[in-house]
Amino acid sequence: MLNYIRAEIYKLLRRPYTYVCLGVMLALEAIFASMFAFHNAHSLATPFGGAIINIVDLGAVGFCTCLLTGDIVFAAQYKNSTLKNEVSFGLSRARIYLGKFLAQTLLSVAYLVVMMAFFLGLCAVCLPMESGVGFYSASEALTIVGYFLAVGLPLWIGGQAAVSMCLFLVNGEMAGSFLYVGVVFVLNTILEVMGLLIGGNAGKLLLKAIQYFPGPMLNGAKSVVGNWEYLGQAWIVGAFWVAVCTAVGLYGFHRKEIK
Amino acid sequence: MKDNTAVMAAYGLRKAYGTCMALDGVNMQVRRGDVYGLVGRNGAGKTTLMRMITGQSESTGGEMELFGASGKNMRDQRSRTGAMIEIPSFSPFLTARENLEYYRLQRGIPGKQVVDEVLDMVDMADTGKKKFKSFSLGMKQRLGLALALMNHPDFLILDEPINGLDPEGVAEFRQILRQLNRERQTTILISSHILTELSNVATRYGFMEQGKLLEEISAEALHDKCRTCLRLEVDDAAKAAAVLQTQLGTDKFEVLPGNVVQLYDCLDDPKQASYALAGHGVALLAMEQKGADLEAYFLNLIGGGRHA
Repeated sequence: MLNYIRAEIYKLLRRPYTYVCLGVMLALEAIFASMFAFHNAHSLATPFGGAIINIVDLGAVGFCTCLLTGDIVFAAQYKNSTLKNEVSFGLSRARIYLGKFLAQTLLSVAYLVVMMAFFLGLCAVCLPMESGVGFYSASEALTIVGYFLAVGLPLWIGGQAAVSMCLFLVNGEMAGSFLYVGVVFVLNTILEVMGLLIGGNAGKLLLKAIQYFPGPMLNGAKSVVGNWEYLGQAWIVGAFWVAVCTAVGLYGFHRKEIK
Repeated sequence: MKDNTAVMAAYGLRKAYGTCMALDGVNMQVRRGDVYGLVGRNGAGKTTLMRMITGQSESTGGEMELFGASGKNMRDQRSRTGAMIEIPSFSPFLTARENLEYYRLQRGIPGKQVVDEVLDMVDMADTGKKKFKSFSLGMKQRLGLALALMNHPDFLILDEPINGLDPEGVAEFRQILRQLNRERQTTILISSHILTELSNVATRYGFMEQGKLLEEISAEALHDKCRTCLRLEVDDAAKAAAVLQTQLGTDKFEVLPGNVVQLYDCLDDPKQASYALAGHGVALLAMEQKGADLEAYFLNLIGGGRHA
């Protein structure tokens, strides 16, 4: 497995797409941070804490980034027909599946670290550290962001597992991406509507179920900062999504004809 | 009957896609040291068979063995094989060296120099920074062969490997296969539509048609069957055989059912045979010179008409 992950990292480090994606995201962060700096130069005085607290409203971006990291690592295997090189050497399908998922997860964590360090560093350099009226102090904001990231990390990894499942199950990245959007972003809305329409115990069950989708769970973190029970639940939900998506993906991939 | 010298064996192997039988009860054996030429038309089942050997596709019936292992144990034995099935596929954004290095790392093959060795072997050492997406078909074929050779396989599975190669490339490729077979005792299963080329390397043949293996035959036996001869249809084959032996002093003939004698001598002067037979009371009902190459043999086997 270690060899497989090493090979995947070797490949993705040589893929221009890896750097282009990171570059675009860092550029967007730079624009975002410079907007605060620009405003500060004119009238407003948004401090460091006031700027970085916006991270908690950008949780969905993490689920979208899952698609990018999934695409970078999966590298259109079905379109390029490269899986046959791996299967024909006798690598087990479980190793192929898990190897790609783990490489994808490592890449996403690396992206997260670089993006957070860049944004926090940029805000620290460009914006005043002392808090103004109506803004979080730097330490308060860092605590909230830290908690949000601790809740978000397992849920984003759950998102990675969902992307992996979709890309392995469906031939074609576009179709796989649509399936992922359906599973992670649309399915909970459908369940919510169904729950409201059905009503009764079944409806309540459906409404309860949507709390365990990664998106709603991450959104809920904003209002419960410091709640360790919620943090624990997030890790359990993340692990559940990883387990279920991996089991479904592996089952489907085992039965798939490689062409 | 199971054969211990078989590198790969199939027993009643079947593969169905819906109602279409891509493989229909194939029994075959590739023995250690064979260069096994798989001959068949498009859609005969050659690629399907190779895809099943390499684990890309599962059978819907029958049994298969690889190095004596069957079922799930076959997977481990695949690390002893090298395969190039259909058009070679690699990451388009990597160079030849990077692509091979990726698979070397993935497969845990020790020694970085292996990549350069196989690139040298297929004459691809100087492709530099050119990405796979810009390769010609011939270059792709060479890189596919390099990957198949990287782990020094005991069993090489090649599906149409010379498609897209220039004449020089074909000659080099033939040389590589012969060298591998001779020096490393690599067993090779190869399919090709270019039957003349196949006949230059194969030591054994399997002829496929509509998912069935029609015949397995050694190159020597095929050569014997295809060699030029005089086909003599007589009224008494036994008497004709005696005449040929005593009068022409030859034993290069075969007596076939239906009073047919195949004479592999006197090809330059068929009159000799007809005079000898007529002079000793054997009625010669028909005489024709016949001979075949691999292509003619195959076409005859499948009932003629279309090309392989």
